[in-house]
Parts: sequence; structure tokens; C-alpha cells
Amino acid sequence: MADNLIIAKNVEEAVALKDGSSLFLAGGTEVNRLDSPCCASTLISLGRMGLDGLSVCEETVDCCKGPKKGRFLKLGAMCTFQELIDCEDVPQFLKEACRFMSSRTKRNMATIGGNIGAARDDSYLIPTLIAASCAVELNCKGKKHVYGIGRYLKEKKDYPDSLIEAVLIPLNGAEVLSKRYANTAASHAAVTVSVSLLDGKVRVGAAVKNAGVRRLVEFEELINAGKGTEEELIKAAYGLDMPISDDMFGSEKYKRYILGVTVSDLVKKAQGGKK
Amino acid sequence: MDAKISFKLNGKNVSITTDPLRRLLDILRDDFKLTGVKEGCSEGECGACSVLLNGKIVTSCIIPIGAVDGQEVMTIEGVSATEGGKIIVEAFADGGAVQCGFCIPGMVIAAYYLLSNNPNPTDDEIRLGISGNICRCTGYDLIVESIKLAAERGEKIWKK
Ligand SMILES: Cc1cc2nc3c(=O)[nH]c(=O)nc-3n(C[C@H](O)[C@H](O)[C@H](O)COP(=O)(O)OP(=O)(O)OC[C@H]3O[C@@H](n4cnc5c(N)ncnc54)[C@H](O)[C@@H]3O)c2cc1C
Ligand code: FES
Ligand code: FES
Repeated sequence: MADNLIIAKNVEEAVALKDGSSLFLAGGTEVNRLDSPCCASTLISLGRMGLDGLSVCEETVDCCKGPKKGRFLKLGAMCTFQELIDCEDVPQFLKEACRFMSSRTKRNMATIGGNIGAARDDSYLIPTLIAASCAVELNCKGKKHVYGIGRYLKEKKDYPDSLIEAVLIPLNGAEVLSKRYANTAASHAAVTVSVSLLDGKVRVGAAVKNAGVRRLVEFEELINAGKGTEEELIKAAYGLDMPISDDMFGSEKYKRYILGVTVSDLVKKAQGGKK
Repeated sequence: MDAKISFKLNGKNVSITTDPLRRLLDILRDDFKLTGVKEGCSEGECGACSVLLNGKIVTSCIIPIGAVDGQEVMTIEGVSATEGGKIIVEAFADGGAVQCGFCIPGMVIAAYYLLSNNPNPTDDEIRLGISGNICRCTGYDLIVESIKLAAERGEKIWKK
């Protein structure tokens, strides 16, 4: 439980105030929920900084494999899930991922920046953002960085005080398909998988409960090398280096099997759609 | 540290000096005695604590009062005093939408928010409109029917 709330007037103030004892507060649906793992003595509210715009931009993104230039739809980090659903410029695949949060009321509060900041292992949006090769615009103590989401997630702990100012969605026509497995619409997902297909190349993102959320390069390499039959992908899922375990959301075997089969299904569907 | 927080509550300007981290839900119930807003899950899932914040439906159990400074809040007490709110409340009673009643303030808020934005919703749209509200008693069907009834009865109001 925090003991101080500061409403930041602008990005500069929010970033200057942030340290190890504080947390940014966006929609608060993760920070303020019962049994939240978020712990801080000060909450820095981002609600009055106007970080909820939408524009098109050219940007150079620092990815794991070096800089990459492109055109992007830039979404302010404070855009709520419902605002993204209601905006006609937002690609359909991202709207679908936003709908994984089944409560419309919660969608009025939860933000895209907060979902990435929370980086939960049942994340609604991150698998889709990984598959779509999205990037985040970060403000690290006044210094701007634009990182691919994969790199951001990998190096997140190195920038604990960084503010996500915007999320960049590539305007490259990539198709992204996602699937989420949960007992009910409101339950935590055991597995969420997203697959994109662009210029014949597949990209895969996944969140597995109690195991993490990341890009699955292992699957991409297999599929892009023409070795992505359902059998091969199930085998790859059983061998995947991810700490998947038995828990109340399903057995390890179930989660690995579902991961392999779903990647296979989504790739087939994406390829079928392209013909 | 306490702070003075001013906001509009059901159309009236109000102020309170309190810990800005206290939940909006507690402020409404304990300080303003607006007990129509209910506490169910305390974690943003059940919608019993729904209010309108700047016209949008949100759950007051996960909003710190400090974040409400300068904003506009409408509770079930405010909504049920409006023309549209009265129509919804009557439609819920006539349509048999209420059993224990615990979820109903939140449901009425959700219905008001829905009909204000979509005067003529389909069944599916009504179900999506109440997707943030859990009812443990009714099975939802009579709530959906009652919202349809409120849409019909208040046609002229919702289309304004
Ligand atoms: C009942 C319930 C069920 C939920 N189920 C799920 C689920 O299945 N999957 C899921 O992903 N989430 C779930 N959530 C959590 C939450 O609703 C979402 O993750 C939401 O997207 C968080 O967004 P927010 O704006 O509310 O973030 P907040 O709660 O405000 O913040 C979340 C985290 O991100 C950080 N943060 C926020 N904004 C920024 C920023 N701009 N830059 C850097 N860091 C930032 C915060 O400091 C905090 O650590 C659930 C929440 C509830 C209440
Ligand atoms: S009490 Fe707030 S959503 Fe359940
Ligand atoms: S009428 Fe009892 S919870 Fe809905």
C-alpha cells in the first residue's frame, strides 16, 4: 500500500520524480487491484499529462538486431483499451486483443502503457504487440529511446524508471492473429498466442501463465525454414526453454501442447488468408 | 498526508480533505453517505461499485480519490434522479430484473451509460454493455429484457 499520490503535471515531472520507491499510476487496474504485486511508497499519476493522442510518424527503432526505420501509428501510452476499440485508425488485430479484457468498464480504465508496464504472464496485449513488431517510445530520465517491444521486455529491468510515452504500431500491412485460452472470459489466461505473417515470414509472441511473456524465435525459425508442421511445432513446444509448470490453470503438458497446436493453427489460418 | 480534493458529485461541487489514496468507493459510502454504490469484489471485476467518472463507467473500488480532483462523478443516486435513470429503475422493477439487488445499482449505471451512447442496442450490445457487471442471482436474461424495455420506454430521451 502506497502512502503518497502525486499527480504529475507533465512528462518531465513524472520522469524526474520516479525512483525505486515509486510507481507510475496509469489506469490503476493492476496497481490498485486487490492482491496486486505492485508495491511502492509513492504513486505518480500519469492521468493529466495528455499522453493519449494518436498520430502517424516515421521512426527508427532499436531492435535486438540493430536499428530499423519505418512508418508507424503512434498511440499515446494513456490510450485506454476502449479508446483503441472505438478508434477507426487502430488496426483490427489490436482491437481484438483489447477485447480479451472482457469487462467494458475495465476497458474504460486500463491503458496500453499500463498493460506493457505490468508485463503479466497472461498479458492481454503483449503477445499481439510482439507478433506485430511494435515498438515503445521510452523516456529514461529525459533521454528518449525507441525500442522494439522484444528488446524492451528483455532489457526492462535495466530501465526500471523509464516511462513508456507511446506505443508504435508498424504500418506495414502485417496480419496478426491471436488466441487466448481461459476458463471464462474474465479468468486469467493459461496461454495466449499471437502470430503474424509479413512477406512470407512468421513472427510469434506468447504469454504462458506462470512462465512469462516473450517472442518465440524458436518457433519462427522452424516455420520460416519450412519445418512448421503441427507435429514439429508440438515437439518444439515440449522442448521450449520456458519455465512452464503444472498449476491451477492447467498442466505443463496441456500448456505446451496448446502452444504448439495454436501456433500451427494460426500460421495455417494466416497463410490461408493470404492465398 | 491529507490533501483537499474538490470535484463535482451528482452535479454539485464538493470538497473533502483526506488521504488522497483512499478509494473513491469509501469516500462515497463513508464520507458522503451515498450507499447505493456497493462493494463486491474490491478488485475491479464485479462492477457493484460502478460510477460514472467524466461520463464514463468505471469501478470506484480501484480509483484513489486523489485522481478524482477536478473531475465529475455521478453515482446511482445521481443517475436514478435523471429522467433516463428513472425509466431504467422502473423498467428493472417491471421487468423482474432484481433478485437480491446487490448488483443492481451497478447494472443501472451500466444501462444508463449504454443507452446514453447507444439508444437502440441489440441483445448482444446490451450483454457487452453489462460485461463489467456480475450478477450472482438472475442469470442476466431479465436484466437484458429490462434494458430493452428501458430503451423502448425512453426512446425520446436516449435519442436526444
Ligand atoms: C480483476 C482483474 C483481472 C485482470 N486480469 C488481467 C489479465 O488477465 N491480463 C492482463 O494483462 N492484465 C490483467 N489485469 C491487469 C490490468 O487490468 C491490465 O494489465 C491493464 O492493462 C493495466 O493497465 P493500467 O493502465 O490499469 O495500469 P496500471 O495499473 O496503472 O499500471 C500497471 C503497471 O504498469 C506501470 N505503468 C503504467 N503506465 C506506464 C507507463 N506509461 N510507462 C511505464 N510504466 C507504466 C505501472 O507502474 C504498473 O507497474 C487484471 C486486472 C484486474 C483488476
Ligand atoms: S467492488 Fe469494485 S468492481 Fe467489484
Ligand atoms: S440480483 Fe443479486 S446479484 Fe444481481
